[in-house]
Amino acid sequence: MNQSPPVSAVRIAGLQQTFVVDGVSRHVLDGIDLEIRTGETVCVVGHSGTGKSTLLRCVAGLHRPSGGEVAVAGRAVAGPPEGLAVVFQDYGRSLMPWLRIRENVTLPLRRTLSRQDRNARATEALAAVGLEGVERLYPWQVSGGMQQRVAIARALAYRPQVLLMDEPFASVDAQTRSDLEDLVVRIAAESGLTLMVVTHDIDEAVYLGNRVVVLAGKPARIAADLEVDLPSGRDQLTTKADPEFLRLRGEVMSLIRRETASIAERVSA
Amino acid sequence: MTVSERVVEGRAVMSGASQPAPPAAARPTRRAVPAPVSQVAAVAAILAVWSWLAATDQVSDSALAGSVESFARLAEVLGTSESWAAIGQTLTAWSISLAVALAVAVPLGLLLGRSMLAYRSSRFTIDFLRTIPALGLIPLAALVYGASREAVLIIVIPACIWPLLLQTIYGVRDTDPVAIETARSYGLGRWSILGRVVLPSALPYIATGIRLSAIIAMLVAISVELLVLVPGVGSLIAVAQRNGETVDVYAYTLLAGFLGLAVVLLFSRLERRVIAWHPSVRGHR
Ligand SMILES: Nc1ncnc2c1ncn2[C@@H]1O[C@H](COP(=O)(O)OP(=O)(O)OP(=O)(O)O)[C@@H](O)[C@H]1O
Ligand SMILES: [Mg+2]
Repeated sequence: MNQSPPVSAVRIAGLQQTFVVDGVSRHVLDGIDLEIRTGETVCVVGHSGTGKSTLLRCVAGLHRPSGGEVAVAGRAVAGPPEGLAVVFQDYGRSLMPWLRIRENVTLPLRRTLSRQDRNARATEALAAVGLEGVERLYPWQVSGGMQQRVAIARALAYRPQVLLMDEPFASVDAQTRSDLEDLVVRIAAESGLTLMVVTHDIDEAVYLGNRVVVLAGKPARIAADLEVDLPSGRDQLTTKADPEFLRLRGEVMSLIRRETASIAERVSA
Repeated sequence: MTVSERVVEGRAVMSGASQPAPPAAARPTRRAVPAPVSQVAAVAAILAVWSWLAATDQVSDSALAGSVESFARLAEVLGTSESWAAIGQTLTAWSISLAVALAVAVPLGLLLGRSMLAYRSSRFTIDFLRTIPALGLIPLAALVYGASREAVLIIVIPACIWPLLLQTIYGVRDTDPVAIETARSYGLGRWSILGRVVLPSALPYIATGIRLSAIIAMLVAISVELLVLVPGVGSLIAVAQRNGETVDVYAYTLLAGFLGLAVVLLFSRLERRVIAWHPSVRGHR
C-alpha cells in the first residue's frame, strides 16, 4: 500500500470563489492555498459567512470554483471524488426522511456490500457514535443531536480515505461532544484517515487538529496556518491543560478577535 | 418554484381538474367533529332534501324519482349481468387510461423536473395543452372513432396525464438539494439518485397526482360513454334517459357516483400510506 510516493490527500491551489446574485458579484474566497497530507487532521476556523462551507464544497466536488485548482489524492476534482465522505452542516436535511436510520447509513454502501455486511457496518458505526437500537426508527423520530450522530455514523460506515466535516458536533451536548471528538481522533489515528473539520469552537479546533487554519477577511484568505505541536495521544483533561494547547488557543483567538475588531471598525466607519 | 406559488396552485385542485396540488395531507386537517360523523350527516341531509322534494311534488314526477325508489332500483340492476358488464367496460377504460398516464407522465415528469432547461422550454406547451377542455374534444373523438373504446381512451388518457405530469414535476423540483448532494458526494450515480432520492422524495406528490388522475379518469370516461353512447355505465344512463325511464336514470347515476366514491376512498388510502414520512403528516399519526 505504501509503494506510491506520498501524495497530499488534499491540495488546494489559488482557489477563487465569486458568487453572482442578482447581478451583484460577491468575492468570497481569494487565493486559498492549502495542502493536507495523508492522515493529517486540519481544522478550519473562521467567522460565520467567511466561506468555510464553500471551501469544503469545492473540495467535495459539489461546487465548481470560479478559479484555481483542487485535487484529492493527486487527482483533479471535477465531481465528487471517490473515497471521500462529507458530513454536512445541514445534517438533518442530509438524511433521507423516507428511509429508516439503518437504510440511511447503508445507502452509500449499496454498490459494494451485501445486505448483511451493510447492516453489520451500520450497527457498528451507530454503536460507535453512541446510538443503539435506533436502526428501525426514521431520522425525524430522533432528536437533532441524534440525527447529527447518524450523519457521522453514515460517514464512518463508508470508511472514506478523506472525511470532510462541517461543524459536525454543533447540536450535541458537551459530554457527547467530547466523546465524539475522542472517537474521531481515535478513528483518524487508527485508520490513517485524512480529516478536514470546519468548526466554530477554537478549543475543538486545537484539540482535534494537527493543524489549525484560520480563514479571515472579505474576501477570505488564509490568515494563519498553525501546526499543533501536541502529543498525539490526546486526552480531554490533560491535553486541554497543556501549556502548548493554551498558547495555540490564545493565538487563534487573538487572530479571530483581530478580525472581529477590523469588522467593527469598518462598520463604525 | 416558490412555496407560495405551489400553495396557490393547490387551491384550485378539482375545478380545473388538472392543477398541481401539494400532497393532500399538507392541507390542514384539524376538525372539531370526527370526519365520519360529519360525512354521514351530510349524506343524510342530502337524502332528506331529495325525499322531501320528491314527496311534495316540487318537481314533476317524470323528472324526479324518490330516493328510496332509486336505491331499490339500484339494488335491482346490480342483480343484472347487463350492469356488471357495463361496470366492467367502464373500469377497463378507466384502468387502461390510468396505466398509460402513469407510464407516460411519471418518467416524463422525472425527466422534465430534473432538467431546468427541459422544464423551462416545455412549461408553456404544458400550460397551453392542459387548458384544452377534455370534454370539448368529445365530438371530435366521436367523429373519428365512433362509439368505441378508442373514443373514450383518446379523451381520457390526456385528461389524466396532466395532473400526474405536473404533480411529478413539482415533486421532483421539491426534492431537497442537500439530500441530492449527499447522495452525489457518496458516489451514487445519476440513475441511483433518480431512483433512490428523487423518486421517493417526489412520491407523495405523485400519489396525489395518481388520486387526482384516477378520479378524473372515472368522471371523464363516464361522460364520454354518456355522450357518445360507448358501452359502459355512462351509456346506461343515456339510454335510460332516452327511453324515459326516470328511476333507471337515477339508479345508474347513483351507480356512477358510487364508482367515483370507491376510487376516491381507495386512492386517498394509498396516498396516506405513501406520504407517512412527509413533514406535513408525521405528527398526525
Ligand atoms: N450558492 C451561493 N450563492 C450565493 N452566495 C453564496 C452561496 N453559497 C455561499 N454564498 C455566500 O458565500 C459566503 C460564505 O458562505 P459559507 O456558507 O461558505 O460560509 P461559512 O463560513 O460556512 O459560514 P457558517 O459558519 O455560518 O456556516 C456567504 O456570504 C454566503 O452568502
Ligand atoms: Mg458553513
